Amino acid sequence: MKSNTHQGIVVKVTDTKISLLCQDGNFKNIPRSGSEMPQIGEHYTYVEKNIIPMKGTKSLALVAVLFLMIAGYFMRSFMIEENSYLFALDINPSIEIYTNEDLQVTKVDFLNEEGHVIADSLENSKQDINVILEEVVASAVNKNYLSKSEKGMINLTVVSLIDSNHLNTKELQETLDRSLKDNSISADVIVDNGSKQLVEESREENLSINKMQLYKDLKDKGLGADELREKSIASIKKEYNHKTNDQKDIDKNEEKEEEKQQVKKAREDAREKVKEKREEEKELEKEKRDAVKEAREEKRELEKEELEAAKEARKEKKELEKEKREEAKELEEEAREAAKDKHEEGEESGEKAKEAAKEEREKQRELDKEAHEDDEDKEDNDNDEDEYED
Amino acid sequence: MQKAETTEYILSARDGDEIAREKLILHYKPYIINTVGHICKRYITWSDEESSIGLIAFNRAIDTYAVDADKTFLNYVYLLVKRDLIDHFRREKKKSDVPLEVKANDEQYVNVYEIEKSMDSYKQNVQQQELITEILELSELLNDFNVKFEELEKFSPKHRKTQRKLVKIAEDFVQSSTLVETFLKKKRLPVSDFVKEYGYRLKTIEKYRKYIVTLILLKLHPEWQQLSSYISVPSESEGKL
Repeated sequence: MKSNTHQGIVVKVTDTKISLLCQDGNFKNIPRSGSEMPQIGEHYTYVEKNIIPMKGTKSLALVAVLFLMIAGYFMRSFMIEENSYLFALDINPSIEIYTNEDLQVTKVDFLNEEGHVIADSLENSKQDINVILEEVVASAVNKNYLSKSEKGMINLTVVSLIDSNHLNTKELQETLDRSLKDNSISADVIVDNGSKQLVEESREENLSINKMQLYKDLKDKGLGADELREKSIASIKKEYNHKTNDQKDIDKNEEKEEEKQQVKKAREDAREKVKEKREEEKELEKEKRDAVKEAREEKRELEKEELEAAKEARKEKKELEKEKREEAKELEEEAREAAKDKHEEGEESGEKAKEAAKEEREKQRELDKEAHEDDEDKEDNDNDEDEYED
Repeated sequence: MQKAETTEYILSARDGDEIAREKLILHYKPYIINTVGHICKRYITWSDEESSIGLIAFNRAIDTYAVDADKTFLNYVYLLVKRDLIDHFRREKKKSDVPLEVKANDEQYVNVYEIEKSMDSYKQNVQQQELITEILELSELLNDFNVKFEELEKFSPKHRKTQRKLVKIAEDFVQSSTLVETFLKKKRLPVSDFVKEYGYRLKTIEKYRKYIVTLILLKLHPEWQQLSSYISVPSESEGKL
């Protein structure tokens, strides 16, 4: 940080500043702080801070910014001026025409000897692209590259070098058509847009841009780069057009066969589908039958089980009846024995015993009756079950 | 105003010549106000109470200055102004109605103490007194030409080369007695005549006019030795031009 020192004598003191007569003979006003009150004639030193470097950096920055702006402007204009579009033209002479953004021609390059002749024949090459194209066509006619006897071919590829936007090729096509008509020449005119990548590839293969485009199209059909370099686009196109026609016929036959095969396949598929459906239906019927059978078997089994259960129930009942009868006989025997004992003891007790025996008999009878009734009920049930079985 | 002149004015003022007294006061006015401000350590205007105390002290200095004394008149004025102001501060302190300064009361003590201390050690050398005299005289003259010290920065040259050129211009101007006469009489720079005579550029003269006026006044008063020394440095290297 630089500082500027002012040394001098005080000549006047005002409200806000101190006037100094400096040692170099200049007068200098310096700001006065509140507490400072120097006397007239006093020596005074004032250190000024950070003023000159600020001025320096400001102007330096300004200069730098201005320089950048100017440089940027010129760079931009330079880039626009040089080669915004590339027009690659192939008749047989191959030439490349560069233009700026406004389609004003900046440069004309030739790629072969014929192109050299054409490029030399152009008097003023700094013109609109349409004018130059007309001149090129006229010149090609003059030099017999386009003749009235033979149908020629003009290939024009437009490449934008600044962006990927495509130029409208309609006007160019019209220009070429018109200039051909003026010279009463018949030729095929092909105008197309190309990419920067295409330009790079053509440079690598040492082909003109139009030939590169053709090479890409016909590469699969056995076109070699060397062949392309020697022959003109027109001749190659003719040659390969025949080839492509034959190829087309073959393709058509193949297509027909394919169609037939497809029809066959479709029929077979339909048949298979019908078969599958039938099989499915059969399976469904079988399943139904099986289900019915199973249901019947289940029913029979159930009926068998029920019959067995009924038989067992009868056996159990019979056994119970036998046991009851045996018990009753035992009781009677006991009663008789008891009566015999009472006869021996006395009459009174004998009568009592008779009465008890009578009561026991009556009980026995009642029990028998009940057993009979139960048997009858069961027999009824059995009869019912038999009926069901039938 | 030379010493003899000053003495003459002082004596006639004592005899009752009010004009002489007025002249003295007018001449020393910048000094009085600056001294008062210096002692009070703040900027004083003519509407402040302290400035009138300074004026009264100056008036008394005219009456009481010992003409034959070794001390200069300016020195005496400074002493009287300072004493009166200190008395004034003390009175203010006793009353304690109004503080001496806008600052706090504590600082007031310091202030008075400092003044007394500085008074004891007060020894202004003669050289500075002379310088003050010179400045006061230049200030009065510049006032006639409507030039103020604080304006001169604007008219000062920024480069050493320009300054040497301006000193040369002033020296050339002083050479012509007719031009100097007009200059002193009309209290302005006779630019057109000067340009005609010496062929300097009118634009240069106009740009640095007030600075050139100051330089001419300094050249016309070689008795202002100290002030002249400030502008003599570039004139020595004049030969390089």
